[in-house]
Amino acid sequence: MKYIHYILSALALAGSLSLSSCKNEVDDVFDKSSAERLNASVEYFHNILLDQGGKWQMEYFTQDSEQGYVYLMTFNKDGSVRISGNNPIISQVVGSTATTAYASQSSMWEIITDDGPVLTFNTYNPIFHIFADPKDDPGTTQTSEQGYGHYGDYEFKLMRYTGDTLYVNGKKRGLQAVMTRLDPDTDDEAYLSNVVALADSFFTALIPITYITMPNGSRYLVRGGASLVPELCPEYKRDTIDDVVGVFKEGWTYFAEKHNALITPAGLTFMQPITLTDTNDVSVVIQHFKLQPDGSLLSREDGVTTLAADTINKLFFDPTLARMPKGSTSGTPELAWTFDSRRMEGQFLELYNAFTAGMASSSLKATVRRADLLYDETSGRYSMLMRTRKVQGGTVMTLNAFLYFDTQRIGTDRFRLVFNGEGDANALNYVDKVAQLRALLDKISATTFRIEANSKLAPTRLKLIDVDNESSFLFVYLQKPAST
Amino acid sequence: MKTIKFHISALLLAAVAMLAFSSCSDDKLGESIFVDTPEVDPSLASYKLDKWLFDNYKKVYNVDFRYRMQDVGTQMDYNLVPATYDNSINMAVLTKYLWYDAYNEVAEDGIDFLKANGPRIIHLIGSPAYNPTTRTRILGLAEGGIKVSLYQINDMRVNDFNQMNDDYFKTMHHEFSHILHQTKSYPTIFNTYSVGQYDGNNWQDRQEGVVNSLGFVTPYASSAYREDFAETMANYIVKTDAQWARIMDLAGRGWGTNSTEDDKNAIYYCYYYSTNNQPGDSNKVYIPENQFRAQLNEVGDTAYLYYVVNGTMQYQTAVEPIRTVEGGDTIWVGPEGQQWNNPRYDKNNFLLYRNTNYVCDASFARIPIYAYPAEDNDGYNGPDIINKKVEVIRSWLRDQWKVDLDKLRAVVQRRQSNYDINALRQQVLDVE
Repeated sequence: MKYIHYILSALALAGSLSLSSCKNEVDDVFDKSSAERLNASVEYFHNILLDQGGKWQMEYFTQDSEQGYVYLMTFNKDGSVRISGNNPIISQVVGSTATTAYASQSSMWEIITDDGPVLTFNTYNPIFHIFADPKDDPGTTQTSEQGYGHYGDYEFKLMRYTGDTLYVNGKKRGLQAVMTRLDPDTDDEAYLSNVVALADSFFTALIPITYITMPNGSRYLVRGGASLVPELCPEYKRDTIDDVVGVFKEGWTYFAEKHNALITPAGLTFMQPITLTDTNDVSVVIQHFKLQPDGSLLSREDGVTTLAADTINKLFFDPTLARMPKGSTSGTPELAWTFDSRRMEGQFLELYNAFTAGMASSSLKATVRRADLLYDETSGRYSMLMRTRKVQGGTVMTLNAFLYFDTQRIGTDRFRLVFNGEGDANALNYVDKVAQLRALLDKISATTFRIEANSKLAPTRLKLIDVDNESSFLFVYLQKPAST
Repeated sequence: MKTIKFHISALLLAAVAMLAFSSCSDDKLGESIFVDTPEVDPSLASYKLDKWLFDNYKKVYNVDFRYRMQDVGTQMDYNLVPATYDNSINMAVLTKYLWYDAYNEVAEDGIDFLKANGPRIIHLIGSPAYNPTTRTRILGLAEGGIKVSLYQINDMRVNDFNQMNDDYFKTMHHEFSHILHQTKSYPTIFNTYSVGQYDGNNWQDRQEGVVNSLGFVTPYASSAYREDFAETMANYIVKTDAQWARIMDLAGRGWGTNSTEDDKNAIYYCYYYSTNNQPGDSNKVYIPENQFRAQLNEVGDTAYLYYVVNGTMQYQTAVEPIRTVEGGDTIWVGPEGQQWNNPRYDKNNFLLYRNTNYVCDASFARIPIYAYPAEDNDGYNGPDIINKKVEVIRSWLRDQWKVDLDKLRAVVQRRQSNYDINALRQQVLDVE
């Protein structure tokens, strides 16, 4: 009897366990298994990449000490991908002597599932995988090779897709890359050449410092933008350090931080968000800047913060530009605003041409090779350096001649340059013998100028406009001085 | 006890009953979670290579020849990149021609030998795997006798079999020998020949000639018994007669150093010269093999000239080192700063120094090196030890694997000295 009791108990237990599995009381969170969902995500991203012609722009960063790069990628159904780029590293790869070079190469792509859906470029493409290649930059030898290279990725975890933008993360390094869908008819070479041209128009090594201006007017100095790894330094802290401590030269050493960036047709993007602090200790986060019609860059994050060169009037009197060597009123300047008569107009064009013709036809028989405007920080004066050439006794002679202008700054955007009768012996001889030069100097002295620049970010070409006659202007451009 | 037995019986009965009742309805299996992909996809741009690999590796040897890099299949501490598609074709056809087909030609078991013992996976990797700590790089890995990884495929020079051997095929023979000896052990007498001379931590700092003279074929061979075995076998198979003779030549020499005896990092050289042209302890300066012949191969190489002045037999070091410069030109700089870029050699491959003031062989003067061989006082008979090691391998391969080592070597030598890469590649390009 006891045994029957056991048997009945066992059967009851088994029955209860087996019956309990007939109905699920809890709804499934997922309607498919993880494997099926992973397969579906592979198909999803595969179709996204191939959709609408399969052409994409990738904003690609490697290490934070290196500029970012723009690549165009055209994904094909047959598993091939054409990758195009135009940058300094490709120039090295193809053995070009140019600063940047364009190249386009095909290799293979695939979406694999070793870490969720992963986009892999799993055969070598010399213009793209170079950033992941362990060989270090040129200069290392076999025994000094560290095996790190540029710290780039060639496999990317597919994160999300919104509005024709695909966000991917480098699998090994974890850096985010942004892929933006492009028109399939985009000409890769023309597109990337434009990106390079944009970079050149954004920053120029001739103007090494530009400014990020925050909503309250505080500024950060941006040094070395042309490298696309600029240093950012709060202007107010730099000044403080200079005044109080003085040991940190211009404050750069202590407060400057390098941040790398890249340029696309949409504007400028830093690799990571950057927090800036204004004079009121209010923080501003920046990362993306959109190109504005006036050539400046506007923060996408707050729509207020800008990136531009100093105001034109300040720039024209910036002692770091077009300056004479310290303590000298002669010699070779570091940079010069050079007159360009081909771009002048109105009365100034007539007077300038008359001046050069007058120099040649006068008893001096001198050819004006070039004329520069140079700012002398010490005296606060502008000088006009005329470089002339004449043939005397069968010998070609080159002469430099300096004239000096007193400067008068009117408000924030106007100024005058007044010839004060001073100059070196050569120049005063020219003034004495060439009436057309005198006429030009008189007109300059009588004119109130305002400046228009070609760009707010890289103002290297300026119109010095007569405010009383807007159709008449001098034209100067910034350049390194020619050897005399 | 009886009660316990009954409890167990009851539980078993319950389990059976549960299984019997548990199927409330006829559940059908859902769709497979595995995506049904073809072995070879004709729609892919890589179809020709994929098909050729399938037909020549997968179907024949069940080998997965992976040219699309999978970083999860690598040592992820390293920074690596994939192989180029083009070089993958080269490596695929050459591996078959120089390695699989060579063994098939020699092994008594024919194709079955590699079917049974070859690796299951060959994985191509484009870059080297650098180890900055030891200043070494990995050329290949054999993992558990299953997978062979080959590195720096992107640096292949397909018509330079020395480079191909150094970087790939020697590595494949090396790794395969590991698979073989891990399947059937080699005679332990092998381990006794160089006992006490292995250095697992600093082998990369040892010089080739020095380890040769101790009875190793390469510095890496001096790292451990098993590496010694694999290196000896691999080098014996792929080295040409001249290359093998050189190993044996270096093995028979003595080696000296300019450093003090206490300097563990001393660099050893095989010749020395003396300031008075006479051998003697007081005026020895050791010079390395490569400078002895003043051979320059790579950009950045330097050497010093030793030459005759006015027919008087004496030596003099050049003012500037000879150097090879960027662009492929070799600039030779003489003692007076002269530069020229067409060095000439005499019939003994000695550099000739051109200077009309020096009388010897018309306008060319032989550059004599009044050098004397360093004494061989390491206590080891290098050539003899290497020969003994080769003999162990020869017997083991014959007895255990029915493979004739010397025949294998001859076949490999024949194939590597006479292959047409374009013809081999055509097999892939002709795939329909």
